[in-house]
Amino acid sequence: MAVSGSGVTREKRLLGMIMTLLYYPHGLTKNELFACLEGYSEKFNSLRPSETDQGLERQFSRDKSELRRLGIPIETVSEYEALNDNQATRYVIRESEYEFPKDILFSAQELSLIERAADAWREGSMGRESRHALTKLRSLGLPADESRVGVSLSFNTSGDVFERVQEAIDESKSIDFSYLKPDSSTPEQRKVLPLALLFRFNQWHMYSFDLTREDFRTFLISRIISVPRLGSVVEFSQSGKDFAQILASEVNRLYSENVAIVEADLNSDAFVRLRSMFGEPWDDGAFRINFSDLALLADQLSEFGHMIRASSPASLQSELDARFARIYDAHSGGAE
Amino acid sequence: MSPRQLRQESSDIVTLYMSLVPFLRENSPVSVADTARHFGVSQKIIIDAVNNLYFMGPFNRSGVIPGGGMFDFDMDLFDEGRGDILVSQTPSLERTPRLSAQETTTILAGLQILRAASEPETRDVIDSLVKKISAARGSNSSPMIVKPVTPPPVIVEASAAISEGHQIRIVYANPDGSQTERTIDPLRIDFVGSTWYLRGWCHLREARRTFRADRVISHEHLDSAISTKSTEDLLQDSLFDESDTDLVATVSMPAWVFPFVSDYDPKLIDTTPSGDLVLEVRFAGVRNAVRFVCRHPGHIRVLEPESLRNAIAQWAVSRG
Repeated sequence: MAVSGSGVTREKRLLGMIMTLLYYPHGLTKNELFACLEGYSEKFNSLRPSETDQGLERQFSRDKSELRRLGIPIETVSEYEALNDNQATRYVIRESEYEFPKDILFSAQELSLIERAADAWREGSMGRESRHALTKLRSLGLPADESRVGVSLSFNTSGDVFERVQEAIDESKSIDFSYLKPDSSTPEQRKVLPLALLFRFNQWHMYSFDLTREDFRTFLISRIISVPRLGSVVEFSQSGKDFAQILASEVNRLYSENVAIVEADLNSDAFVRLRSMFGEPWDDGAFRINFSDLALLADQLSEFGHMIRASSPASLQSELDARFARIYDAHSGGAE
Repeated sequence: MSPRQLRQESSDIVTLYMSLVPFLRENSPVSVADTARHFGVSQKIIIDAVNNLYFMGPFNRSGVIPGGGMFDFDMDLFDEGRGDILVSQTPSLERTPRLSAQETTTILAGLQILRAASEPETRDVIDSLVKKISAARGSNSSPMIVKPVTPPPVIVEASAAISEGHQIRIVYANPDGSQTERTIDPLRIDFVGSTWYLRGWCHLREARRTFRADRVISHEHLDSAISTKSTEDLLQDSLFDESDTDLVATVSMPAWVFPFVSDYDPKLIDTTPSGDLVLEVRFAGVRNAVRFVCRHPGHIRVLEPESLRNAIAQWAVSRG
């Protein structure tokens, strides 16, 4: 266990806070918490009555956000709201909000499905969240049905980008990042308030309010090339809308508007796989492929090389050729 | 479920203790071994948890509140070495905690992918499960939607065959354009990034094989039971055996590309002064290596071996 300066581990401090707040249904003020909690009291009780300590305050604020991230609903209740006196703010965990609803029970089959769903994230940065979800649900007691392993899932969400975006959505915070548009080789610096995520057509899309352009923008997670930096909380007048649904219809519209026409050599590897992904070719022998972004489509199709020919949109074949040229340049001559 | 060794971050420990107490309340007395297995952690972690909880409880100004304020385990029973946990008093943490918004979201997203690969009966189970978990969250809209593309039909068929323990027969298009008919003991389906794979014992090759689902031309569910005795070694996470991947290459790429090639199981060997990663990757052949550099054309560069560099350069100009 990681031991903090006071000799009390962080987890003991957090658990002490949860247990203590659950014990007092009306909650405690910050000073009351400081006075009794291990990990706080040692330092707090050595302060003079009106003295405050920045270190304690910071630790308290970090602990609060950690507990909220773990799904523990710490509320603040102000008794003298008009006075806006921090000292009178009480911190409360309501048992009814803390507790997993009693009337929801899972069968062994359901629990085993949950185990596998959680596994989808095991390699990514969201692994921690899915691990925690599993631990909590296992506490409901039933052993999962272990009969067959079956399906194993893994999203490509390793790296910190995805986690940071999630965190920003959760806490209504802005993020800064470098973005490489699919058709560009020069990254741009963007500052946005992320609102929703959508996995569709094998891509993670992020819907957000661009704070520089003052308008909604959709980004591809795969093109965010720096770890986003979390900014401050943004007061957003339109919060509460179902942005994930808005994003889903936006992405659907894009894909249905754009159709590429691609031919493949009969029975080539490209033919077999395009047919599996996009259905039978039309009577003219060509596949119809819906896409949202031409450059991205060219990236996806480039591995088929000379087995395919793109006839529409007109620029798709030249996009492909540009990629072959880049690959050639990167592999001709001696290695650097 | 195989016990996964958790990285024990402080959030893991807090979550485990909050979840352990309600479990022990319902199941006490229960052995350390069973508890560890149930939560997928080592026995040491459970023993530490009991020892720590014994001294915990709600606080007041003079410390842990005495008399009714502390956890009570039968420590004699625990210490006797029988490894039984008997809990008689739990002053707090009695209820299973609710899932956080992000925890709920990750489970729901995983279930959507699982649903796409499942046969109709399991889909119905997943649909009702999604409703339950959403209800437990208490809010209707989620900031995340996962809509997987429909997997190739062999995936749903194989998923049914796996749960019934049956063989399937497939016609598989090899990367070189030839086709083979194979009888397979299907053992596991993998969805990695955007590709569906079927793993199993191939009776044609008499070896474990990984098949790309989008190369399966036709499939047939057989009534015969699978004959592979042990499935254990198929549970390993690496998709390909080393024997399938005989070409060892050194490649470089910007760090942001890395997450999108992680299914190749690359090993980091160096970082260049400009921040690019230098990795060792195994390929099944030149075609496979070409597909790899095409994940981000121009950003991924094979450094060695020279013969592979030449083959890729050749591939890039010979088209059309």
